[in-house]
Amino acid sequence: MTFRSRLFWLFTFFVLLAVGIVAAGVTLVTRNAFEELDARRTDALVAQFREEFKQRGQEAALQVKGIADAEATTRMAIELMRPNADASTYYWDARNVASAHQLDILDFVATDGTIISSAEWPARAGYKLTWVTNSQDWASAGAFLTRMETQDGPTLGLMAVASAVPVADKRVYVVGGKKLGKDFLSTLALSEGMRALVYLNLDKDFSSDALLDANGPVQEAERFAPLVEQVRQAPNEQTAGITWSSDPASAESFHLLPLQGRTNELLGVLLIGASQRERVVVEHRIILLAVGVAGIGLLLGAILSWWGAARITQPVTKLVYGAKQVAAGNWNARVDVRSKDDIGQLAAAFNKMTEELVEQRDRLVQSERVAAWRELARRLAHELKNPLFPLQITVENLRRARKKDAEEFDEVFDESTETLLAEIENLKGIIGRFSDFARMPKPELRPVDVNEVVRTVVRLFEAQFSAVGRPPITPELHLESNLPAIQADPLLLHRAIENLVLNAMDAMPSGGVLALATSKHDGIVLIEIVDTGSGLTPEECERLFTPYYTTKQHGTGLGLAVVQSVISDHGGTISVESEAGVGTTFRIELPIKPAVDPQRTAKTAASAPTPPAAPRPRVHDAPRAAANDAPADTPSDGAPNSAETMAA
Amino acid sequence: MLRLLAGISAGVVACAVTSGALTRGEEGAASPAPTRPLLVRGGLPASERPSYGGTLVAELGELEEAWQPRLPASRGLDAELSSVTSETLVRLDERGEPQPWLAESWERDATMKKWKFHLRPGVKFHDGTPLAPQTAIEALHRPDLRPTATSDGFQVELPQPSPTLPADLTLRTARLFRMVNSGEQGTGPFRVDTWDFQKAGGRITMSANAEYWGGRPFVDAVDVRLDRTARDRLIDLQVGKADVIEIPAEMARRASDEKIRVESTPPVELLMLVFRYDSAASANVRLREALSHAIDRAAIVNLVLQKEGEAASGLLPQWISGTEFLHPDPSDPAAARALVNEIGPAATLVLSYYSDDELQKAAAERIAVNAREAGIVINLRAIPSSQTEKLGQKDRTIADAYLMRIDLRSPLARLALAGVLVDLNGFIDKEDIALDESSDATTVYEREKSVLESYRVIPIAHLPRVYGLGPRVRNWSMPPGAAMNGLPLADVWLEREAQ
Repeated sequence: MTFRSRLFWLFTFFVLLAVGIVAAGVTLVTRNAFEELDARRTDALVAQFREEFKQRGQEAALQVKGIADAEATTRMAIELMRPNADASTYYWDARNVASAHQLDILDFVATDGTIISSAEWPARAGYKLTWVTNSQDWASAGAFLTRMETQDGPTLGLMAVASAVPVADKRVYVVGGKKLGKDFLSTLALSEGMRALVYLNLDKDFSSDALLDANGPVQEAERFAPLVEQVRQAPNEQTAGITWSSDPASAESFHLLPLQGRTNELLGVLLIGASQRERVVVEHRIILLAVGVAGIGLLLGAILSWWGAARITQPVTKLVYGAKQVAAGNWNARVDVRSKDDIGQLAAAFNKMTEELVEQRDRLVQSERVAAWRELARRLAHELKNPLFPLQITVENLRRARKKDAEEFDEVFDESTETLLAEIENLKGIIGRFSDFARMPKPELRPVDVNEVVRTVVRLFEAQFSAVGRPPITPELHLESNLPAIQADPLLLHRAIENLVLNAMDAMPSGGVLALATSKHDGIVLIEIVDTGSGLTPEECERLFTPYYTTKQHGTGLGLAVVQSVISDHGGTISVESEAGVGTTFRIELPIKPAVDPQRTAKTAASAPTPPAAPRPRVHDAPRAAANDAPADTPSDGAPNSAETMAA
Repeated sequence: MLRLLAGISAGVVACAVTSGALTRGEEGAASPAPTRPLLVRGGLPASERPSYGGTLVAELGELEEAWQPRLPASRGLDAELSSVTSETLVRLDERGEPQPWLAESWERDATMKKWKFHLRPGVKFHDGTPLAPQTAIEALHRPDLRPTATSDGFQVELPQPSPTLPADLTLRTARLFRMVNSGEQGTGPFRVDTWDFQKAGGRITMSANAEYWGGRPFVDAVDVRLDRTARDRLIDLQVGKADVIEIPAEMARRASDEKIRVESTPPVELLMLVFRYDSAASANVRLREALSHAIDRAAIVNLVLQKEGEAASGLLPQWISGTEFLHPDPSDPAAARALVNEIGPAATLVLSYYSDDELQKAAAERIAVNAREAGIVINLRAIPSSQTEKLGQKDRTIADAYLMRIDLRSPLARLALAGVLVDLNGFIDKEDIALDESSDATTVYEREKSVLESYRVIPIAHLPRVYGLGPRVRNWSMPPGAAMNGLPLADVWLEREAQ
């Protein structure tokens, strides 16, 4: 994950965290506020109901008392005491009186409980209303809630009972009051989102028709059945809720108030509902706002992170790019960072570092170049000094021979000129080898069967492997069949493998096993030459491919340099692994299709005015103790194995 | 004035010269002189002397099916009013006997298939057209009689003997009227000037017919209002805004208590409970019988009707049929409970009634209470009468039973029962409806008994028609036999001092 991404996600996380905390906090506070408000409104409505209940009860008691004390009622009582009294005269009286007093319920009841006249149910005249006669002390009873039977079914009435003046110890009872129904509910002042309902019928089974609000029967009344049952089980004030649909805004909380009669029997339930819609809507809006803020925050975060990343990571990216450039060998890479903060200082330090590296590299190259020239001069001096000394001796012998007789001089002269010619030839050879190295031929690529090249080289040295007078070397070939042909110069490739075989033979003076193997790996062909010689030290491995470097007494130090040059010209690589006492392995990796333009490579190599700095070979870290000499430097006795020979 | 030529007695005397039909053997009837009151000179206080003039204001029951003067009247109130604008050939006297009216006399042959009616001379329709034979045939609107004109009337020849044809012609369906310019022109003592019951809820103005063959009515005009509630009518009468009002039977007692002059007819209306023929809930005759036993008719009469009416054990009241006492009083709560116990749980019955009829409402509620005491559950369903015309078949089939009030159209038992049975068409078996002209009193009784024993019709009460009269109304007379002849407006005068 990039720094920019991390920065974005970090910013996003903190934005979401902050918005979430704020939204949750606001929602919680809002919910508490709404709940508190609902509770206050419900309490107020309950108090209003109780006050209205009390007031209506008092009014009903006063009205019923007034009716009972009225002269007409007294006359009725007197008339009914007469023999053969005709009660039918009063059949419609209750309705008229109830209408005049605005009572919903009014019954005139005789001493024996017979209904004389009934306003709410005239047809009941002549039937009994026995509960009225069970008490003689209605004056102190006041108003009470009771269940009344009407022709429309049972209902709850806020009732009062009064007795007219007794006539001959007989009474006429006046039972009157108001229904506790939708008309009563309509008098309650309800706040927005609140409603009051009353459940009137407390039969065993829930009856939807018995649930009323100010407009009459309630829709979906059956949903209230559990609430009513809840109060029936525990007749005290409770709260409950109903969610009408999957929409949370449809939730409604209810305060349940049991309505009890004179003997505390449960007669009904008042339900005061408070819609949760407003709260849910507000919460929804808060969430929407939070989402909106979060969205804006994320957008802002993206912009800021992009901007911040641009501010912070661009110098770092430049530093990374510069470091990669340096790692790739471009030591002239510079980081253009102008800030003065830590990143700027880091960039400045990086630039300074690369400058110093370039300077040090230049100095190193210069010193290596000087060293190479010195080594070359030493080699040249050493190579040239050997033939020059016999030339000097031969010329001095010739001078001394002039003083001798002619016959003797001639003999000396012949020997001397032969010697001179031989040494001059020797000098030419030395000069030729150096010249060949300086002018490596450019590869002429064509399809080459690597296995065939390896076999040819091995056949070439078969005689020497088992030559008399030296310990035998056992060649082993591990060539992969179906090896694809590669684009290569067969002669140069033959020369390179030949040099490595010669080098291996020089590393095994006591004999051993020389294994050559080929294989294919991911677009390359791998050639391995493995000997069982004494091995090389790590230091020797480090400089093994440096031109003119040799561990042999008579080597030129060009053999492995030539091998490395050939492999490089083919776009391949060569590496060496060596372990003291075990042997040395050279690995050549050649592309099946070379990516490097060999001509350009050849030109580059050919145009080098000075001996190039040796490309560092790939050397494995395994400890190496062997001290193999460069075989090309040391011509074997009579064997055509020297690099010089091959170069020639 | 013909009126002045009539005989008098104290005050107003109904000069029914003919007491019953003056028959000429078996074939005919003599024509009586029309009954007309006459002014009396001397001997009477001025307040009791008949006087002309004034407008009588009548407030009658609120009916949605308001009287259409251009159509044959069939309902009680319609008959009340239509009788003052158009008349029949024959009219019943106070004893219920057919008497000549527009037909001066009639005669028949021995087969009682051929009848000849002689028209009263000097009779004119309101538009001045004389009542001539051909005009009478057209105004009768009875092509089924196939009348043919004669020199002074018309004759009819029926395929079957019709001994009661004169009585049949007393029904309001046989009144004579001509349609002129879409308006009805009768021969009655009053002509219709305006009617706007469809717009203003019901108001009719009528003026006295000066050319009336029986003499000009005393009052100049009659203003009839049909849009007042019973309570409003009572108030109007008490404050002098109305002279004649119709009082619901259940309010008659209260009106009397309030010192209002109340005149009642004999029971001319039947309150009954009718079961829908295809009701599954009421299909069990035992249940219907139980309900009949459960209904406390006496309590309904005493309480709901305030004793203004009679508990009904038959379809026809005793004064019409003379046989009602033969039908036992079905009210027997104990028998009802026993039947219900025998039947077992029964389905709930839906009883429908017109919501704007307080009597029906109160009676229905009482019936429901009675039924509940017997173990029968009845749910009441009120149907606004204003919607009755809009009720479709589906609405009508919601109820299992209906509470109905029907008018008894004739004091003649056969005609009255026939009218009842016609109104019950669709509720009882068709064979019970048939009642031909040859049916005697025994047949009428048997037919009525048959209907009652099916318990598809449960009679509840017989109701009178009750009128309240204002203090200036004089000479209001509705003898029992003439109770269905309509309002006696032609004979009424208004006390001058009170005008």
